[in-house]
Amino acid sequence: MKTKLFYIFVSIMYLGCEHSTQEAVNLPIFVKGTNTPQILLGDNTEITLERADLAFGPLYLCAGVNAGDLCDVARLEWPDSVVINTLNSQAQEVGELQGVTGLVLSWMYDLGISSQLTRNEPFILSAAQELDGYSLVIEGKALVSDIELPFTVSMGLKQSDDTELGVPIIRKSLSDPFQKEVNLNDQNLTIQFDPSTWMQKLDFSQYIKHENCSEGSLELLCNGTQELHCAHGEKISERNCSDLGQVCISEQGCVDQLIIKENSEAYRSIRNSVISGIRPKFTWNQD
Amino acid sequence: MSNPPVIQSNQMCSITGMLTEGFLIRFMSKLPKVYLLIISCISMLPIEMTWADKNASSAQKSTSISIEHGSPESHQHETREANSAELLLPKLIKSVDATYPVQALAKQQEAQVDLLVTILSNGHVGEVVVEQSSDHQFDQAAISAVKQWTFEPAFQGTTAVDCRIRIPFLFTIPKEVPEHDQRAGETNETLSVSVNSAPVNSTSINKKATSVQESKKTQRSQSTPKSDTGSKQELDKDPITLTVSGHDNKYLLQQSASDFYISKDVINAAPHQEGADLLQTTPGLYIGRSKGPAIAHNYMLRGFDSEHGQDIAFTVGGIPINLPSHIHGQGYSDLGFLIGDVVDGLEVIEGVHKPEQGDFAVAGSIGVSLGIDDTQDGLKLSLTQGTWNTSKYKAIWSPKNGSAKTFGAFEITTSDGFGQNRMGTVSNGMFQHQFGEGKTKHRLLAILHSARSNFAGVLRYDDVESGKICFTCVYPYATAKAQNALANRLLLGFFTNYKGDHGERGEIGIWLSYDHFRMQSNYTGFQEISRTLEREAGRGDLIEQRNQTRSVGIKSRYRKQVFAHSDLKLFSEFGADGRMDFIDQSQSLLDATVRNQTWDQRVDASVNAVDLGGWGDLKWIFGRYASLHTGVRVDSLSYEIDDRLGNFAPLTRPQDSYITGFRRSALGLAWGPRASLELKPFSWWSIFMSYGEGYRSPQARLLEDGEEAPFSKVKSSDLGVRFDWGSAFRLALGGYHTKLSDDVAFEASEGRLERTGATQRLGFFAHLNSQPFPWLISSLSATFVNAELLDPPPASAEEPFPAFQKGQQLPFVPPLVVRADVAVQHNLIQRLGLFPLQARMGLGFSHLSPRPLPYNQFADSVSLLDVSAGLVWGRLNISFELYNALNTEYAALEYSFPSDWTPNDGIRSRTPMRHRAAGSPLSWLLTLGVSL
Repeated sequence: MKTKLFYIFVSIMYLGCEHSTQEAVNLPIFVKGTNTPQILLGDNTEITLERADLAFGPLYLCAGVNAGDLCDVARLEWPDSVVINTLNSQAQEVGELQGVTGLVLSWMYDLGISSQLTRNEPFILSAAQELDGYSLVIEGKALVSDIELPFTVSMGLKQSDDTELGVPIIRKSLSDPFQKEVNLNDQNLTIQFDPSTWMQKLDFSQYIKHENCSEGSLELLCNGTQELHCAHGEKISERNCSDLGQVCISEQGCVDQLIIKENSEAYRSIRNSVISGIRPKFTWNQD
Repeated sequence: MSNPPVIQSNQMCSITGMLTEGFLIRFMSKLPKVYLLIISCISMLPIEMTWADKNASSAQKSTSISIEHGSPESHQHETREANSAELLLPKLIKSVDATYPVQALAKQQEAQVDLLVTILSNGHVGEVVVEQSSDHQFDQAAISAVKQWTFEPAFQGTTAVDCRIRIPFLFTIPKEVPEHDQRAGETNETLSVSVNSAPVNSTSINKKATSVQESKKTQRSQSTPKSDTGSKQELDKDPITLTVSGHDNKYLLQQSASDFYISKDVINAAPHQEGADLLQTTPGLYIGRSKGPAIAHNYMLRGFDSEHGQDIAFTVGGIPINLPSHIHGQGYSDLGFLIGDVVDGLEVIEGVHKPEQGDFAVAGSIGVSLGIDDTQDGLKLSLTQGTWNTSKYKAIWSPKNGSAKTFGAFEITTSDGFGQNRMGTVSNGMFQHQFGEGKTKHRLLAILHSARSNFAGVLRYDDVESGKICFTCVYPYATAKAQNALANRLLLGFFTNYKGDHGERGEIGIWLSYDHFRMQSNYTGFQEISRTLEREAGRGDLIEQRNQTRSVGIKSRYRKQVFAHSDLKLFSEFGADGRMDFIDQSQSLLDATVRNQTWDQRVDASVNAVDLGGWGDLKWIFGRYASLHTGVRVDSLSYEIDDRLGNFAPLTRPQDSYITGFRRSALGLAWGPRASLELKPFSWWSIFMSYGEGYRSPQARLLEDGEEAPFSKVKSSDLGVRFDWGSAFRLALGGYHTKLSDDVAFEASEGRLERTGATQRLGFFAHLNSQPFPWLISSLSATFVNAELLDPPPASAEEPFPAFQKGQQLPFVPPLVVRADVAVQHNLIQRLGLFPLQARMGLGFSHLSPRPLPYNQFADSVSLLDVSAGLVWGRLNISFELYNALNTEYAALEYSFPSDWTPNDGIRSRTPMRHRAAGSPLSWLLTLGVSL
């Protein structure tokens, strides 16, 4: 007992009397996706995702309700990036969340492409490099009007606002519920992404058309799986794309798959959903 | 040990018998005003005739000087060397002045004590016998002093022999008080009493003169045949004694257990790389250089992280050093101009309890008094070489037989510095002249300092740990390599002291200061974005700070005794001081890759500041048992600020219709009581209680228009005891509590101090100063403090994660500070050729416990050991010094904040990280010196 008291006394003399209100923490961080075999959209379009790879990171957890440029000093951070198979609901450990205990009220992260103050163009981080410079790569099939439409989209999601140079692209908004008192009982943090939420506002019907040649129509039309070539309002030839193992996309004709291009409505729909749609789920696991 | 026999042996000398002495007195008194040594040895008769030397006064100088100048002593030396049967008398190497007994002082008692002192063949004092006693306390004071004396022993031919001499000590209360510099002049009436330690007047004994001017003057006047002073009468009356003024007992000036006088012996015990390092001997103080010699030290004292001096009021030779509202830190105090050889002592007041303590006296005050003891008279040249191409050239001059306060000193130091990017050069000049006779003395002081150096800045802890960068390296970016600083300072002061016949004392002085500071530093790497230019980022956070301060100040004080009845006495003292500062400062971001192109402006301002203070102090003396000081101080501080970037709208904000600028003014009053009580149940034991309220002026640029300047108010209480057995053993123990209304701490992103709210400290200290043997001197101190933040600024939308949290330990403050200074010196060879060979070793040890940092980080503990060894032979000396002898890898400075030093990896860390500025690894200096 005397020995213990002596050590306590010596500790106090050496380190001081007060204990800090913050403790250093290193929490393993896990990421996982959501097993979503089929996604049914509002127009009864069924989507089957075959690939939904997301470049994720870095991640910052902030003390204030506003992240962004008001989070120059983060309470916790994961300064790395990783490719997440968001179709896999098995959690994978990707590193450690480092920082100190205390209240966090907001978060922000990038998707493998990070804007920094050190140069005007954003950096392509290692995760995005794995995805050929993109933040998100999705491949799947949509069943639209009984027509199976393979599609793919590759998105580079980066900060483009001049006034927000150096700020991560995805930030918790004021309306998002998020509050966590990080303490030493926390064992890890799991972040779960659900790719189905990114697809909810997609409209594939725009790509599957049922058209016929007429006066003023385009030269290349789709009628379901039929590709039509028109001239002066008259059909001059047709072919069935399905016979070729392809689909007929309006204005494109028979193609192997739909490539959702930047600036298209579908692209913007997915982009908006990823950036400001339904948020990933943060789960803190304790003792 | 038995006494040496008297006139018995060829190997032993002794004091003459009284008959012989009486004969000699009569005989010698007929000689024209010469000093006689009443030392006789077995071959006394022929020798005593030799001693009767008209040039006796020169014996006050070292033997080497006497010989060099062909003085009769040198001839005498040679004669004796040639005659092996002849006796060579002992020579005084080091004397310590006796301390006037406090009780006797209070009673105004005077006395004479004659001691019979045996000087051993090793030069140390052996048995001491009181031949003539006055009072026990006087006896003890004399014995205590003489036991610390060291001699070059008597020689019989080439053999050192024991010798016995008679040394009278006169304890007199002179009418005229000794000269002091500004700080000493601020002390109580006990200073007006000087101890007249009266060693034998010897042509052979080299009396070490005291550091005060009067001592020299007195000695000279008494030793000069044509002197018309009272010394002649003394000689006529008793030619065997020589009255010299003793050293002031500055320990008597202390009003609190937290007051310390650090004597030159202690200061010089451990090796010091530069003059300002002398402050390491201050109990509870840690100083470190983290950014090269052109930027002020970082100071930590009694639980205050004083950064560059914000909490400590520094004076040098009476001139205030702190610079108000400096761009790099409030109260910025660069002591890089100090040349250690001319520092006479440190007068340390920890806490606030003396009314003369003004602005910045929050943790305390440190006064550096200047002077050269007369063993250093003449011209001293030294050359130092060391690691990293370090070269130091130094010249110290003091006029022979002149005032101890008159000197000239010049020093140039160049070094490549350790690791990368640390090359620097420092040049210093210090000149002081004291003149005047009688009651009025004048002192003129001039200091000129110039320094420029590169520095490596701070490194992220994780970068060093991962091996990404070496600890003493600099980040491989232009913005990091461009870190450097330039400092120029000119100080001029003229002071006049007056001392009346009845204890009155007055002082008036004027001083001028010009300071120019420019620094380029980068703490955070690549995190800043221009607020002025569109989309300008990533050019490196190289902050340029410029500051120019022109100051003029005055100071005055007057003290007199107003009442005396029996043992009750009352003294009053009043003073006034003031200063005007004209400050121009700016802060910008520079791009080092484009010839320091400015890419953002953060500060462009001018400040005119006036600080006018007045104070009064009443001292009550209740006999020998108690004394009480009660006082008050009032200061008026006014500011006019021209903030030329005020109201500036960054690009992200809509442009209004206005011209940028924010001019404003503010004025505030600061006042506070000061009190201290000393109870003295025994002559060796004092109990102290003190309380005071002080202040620190605000950083002017933070003031709003019309704001009643929010002074940082400090309330400081001390309780302690002091045990004092002369210089053999002085122990101070105590505790203190300090509460500060508004503290500041370093903020890395701006590279300057920001508010942290109220703080408090509860601490304990112990300080032991001892010289148990003449060859050993030591000073040990330990300070423990619990410092905490009471009311830091709360989290806000703009700063949701503040660095400072309520109740947390105060960042940067080490709970435990330990310091030890030890020196030993001894004659290795009693005679090597014409001179003894003296060896000296010194040791300095500093320890800081781990320090809390912002954001829950802790800095590592620091333990540093410096050692030195040196030899002195005649006019020549050589010394070898090792710094950080254990080669500890330590941080001279640690912070915690986010930074981005990876501009090309695309990931910015936003969590706070420890940043460290490397401290110097093992280094050595070799110095060769010669006295001319």
